[in-house]
Amino acid sequence: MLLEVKNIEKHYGQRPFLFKRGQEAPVLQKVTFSLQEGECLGIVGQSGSGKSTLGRIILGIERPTNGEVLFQGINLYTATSKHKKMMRRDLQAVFQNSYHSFNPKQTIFEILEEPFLNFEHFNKSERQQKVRELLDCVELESALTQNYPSQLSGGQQQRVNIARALALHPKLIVLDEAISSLDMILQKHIIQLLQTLQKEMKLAYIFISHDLQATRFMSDRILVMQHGQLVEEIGEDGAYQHPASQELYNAILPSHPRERANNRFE
Amino acid sequence: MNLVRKDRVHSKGLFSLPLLLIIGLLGLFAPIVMPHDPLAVDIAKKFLAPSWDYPLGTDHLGRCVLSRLLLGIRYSFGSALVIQLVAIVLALLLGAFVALKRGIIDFLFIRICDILLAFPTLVLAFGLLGLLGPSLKNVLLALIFTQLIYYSRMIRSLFIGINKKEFIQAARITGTSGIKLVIRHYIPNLLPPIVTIVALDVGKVILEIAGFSFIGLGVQAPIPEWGMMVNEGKQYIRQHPELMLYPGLAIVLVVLLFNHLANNLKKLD
Ligand SMILES: Nc1ncnc2c1ncn2[C@@H]1O[C@H](COP(=O)(O)OP(=O)(O)OP(=O)(O)O)[C@@H](O)[C@H]1O
Ligand SMILES: [Mg+2]
Repeated sequence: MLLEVKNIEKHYGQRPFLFKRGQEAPVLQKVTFSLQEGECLGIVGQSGSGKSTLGRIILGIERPTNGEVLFQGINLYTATSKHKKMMRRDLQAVFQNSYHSFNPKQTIFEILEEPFLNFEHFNKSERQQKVRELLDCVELESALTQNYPSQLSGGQQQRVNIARALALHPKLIVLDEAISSLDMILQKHIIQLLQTLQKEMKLAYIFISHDLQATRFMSDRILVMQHGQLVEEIGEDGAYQHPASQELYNAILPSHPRERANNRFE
Repeated sequence: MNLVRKDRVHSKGLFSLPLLLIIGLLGLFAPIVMPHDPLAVDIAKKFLAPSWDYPLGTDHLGRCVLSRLLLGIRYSFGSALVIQLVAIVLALLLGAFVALKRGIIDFLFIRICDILLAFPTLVLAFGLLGLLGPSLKNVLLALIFTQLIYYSRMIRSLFIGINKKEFIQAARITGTSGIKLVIRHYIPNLLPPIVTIVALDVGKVILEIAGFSFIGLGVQAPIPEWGMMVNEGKQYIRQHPELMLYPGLAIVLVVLLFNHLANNLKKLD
């Protein structure tokens, strides 16, 4: 098992030390699921249902109030620093807000060489070569390397983010609304790219989105979240029962005029 | 086009930097550029008017005023720079440490800082000087201490502000941690505000050093610190007001230059 998430709970509104305030309503409750190597799992749910919070917990950057996350059998939050360092290599992410994921004082080159600086012993020209390959992979021109993130368009920024996540050939990438901001053609390209990589490198994805269509296209299974709970798992057959799933399905705008006629926002 | 114009404005705004450099060099090479020994007493030559030999005249003990002003650069301007540099380096280490550790250390740090910051810095420095006794070394220690409290508290807040930023999380996910994280991501984003505030406070510190000397708690005679010179001149304010005026103007000039520099550094970011 690549990833096991057991009984995760998360409350906000606690001070870490002294003067504890009363607990606020939980953002996540009893979230349990697991993921095989090379699998692609979709997580959908309405805005505010706790998807991004769950993503951050899986990534090991936000401690859950209760429960544990095992990555390749090792607990993320109690691992030794040596293990943590190894896991960092295999566990990558692309965040919802692309611009904020960049240090505004770094150039694109500096952003993309950072994973190599941390884990490999490449010299400068090797790193330049690697960065060029990465940019190629997400269809960006290598002339952009000397630019700052603020000089890129939103879609370009997001592709740099994806390139950074791919740099070290991780085992799992958490994609939080990673392609929602891209144009349709590019979305398709990126999805195809991700799928090729998945096959080639046994890469697993957690694909977080409120876009059910893209998620269905990408994922083997889909988990539906509502108010911080997993309410349903939609498998290969696409069958669903829960009202929350129903609502998400209804929200897909029909593309054909005939369907549009008898499916006007009831 | 826009960028070029902006740069031009800034480079104009930075003219205080070369002036400050010149003043610093004058202080550094004071023994070479001084026309006379600034400590040599010669009562026969007291209160001389400006002349080629004594460009700014002499004081009540017949010492060359210009030489004293030049050597005074070391004590006023130089000490202020030393205080600021030592304070900010220590504050960076301390502030970064508590901000990244958090927990009880951070909690205690905040409480202690808040108690100490409740006193105006001058009062705090006064108390310390009273304890340590008046001397140049103790002025330095007292002011480094008060600046350190203030700066480490500020740097802790700046660090914690950045802690929450997504790019720090992204960098952690990329595998950057510890000192590398601080050097690559915190420092470049914090440097502009820190440099600005340090430059701005040099003026304040110069005034404080001078203030302590003036009331007799700081540098002791015969060291030609500018505040000290103002103090010595005040006995002769009626007959020879220029003895207070020269060091007073020197203080005003340097403080203004630093404030100007700081203001323009702020705009550069
Ligand atoms: N740092 C925080 N402090 C307090 N509450 C938070 C924090 N982060 C998230 N929340 C709360 O947790 C809930 C879930 O937020 P989350 O960002 O996980 O939602 P989401 O499902 O990703 O939504 P979206 O689809 O809009 O991105 C929200 O109600 C939000 O107010
Ligand atoms: Mg979200």
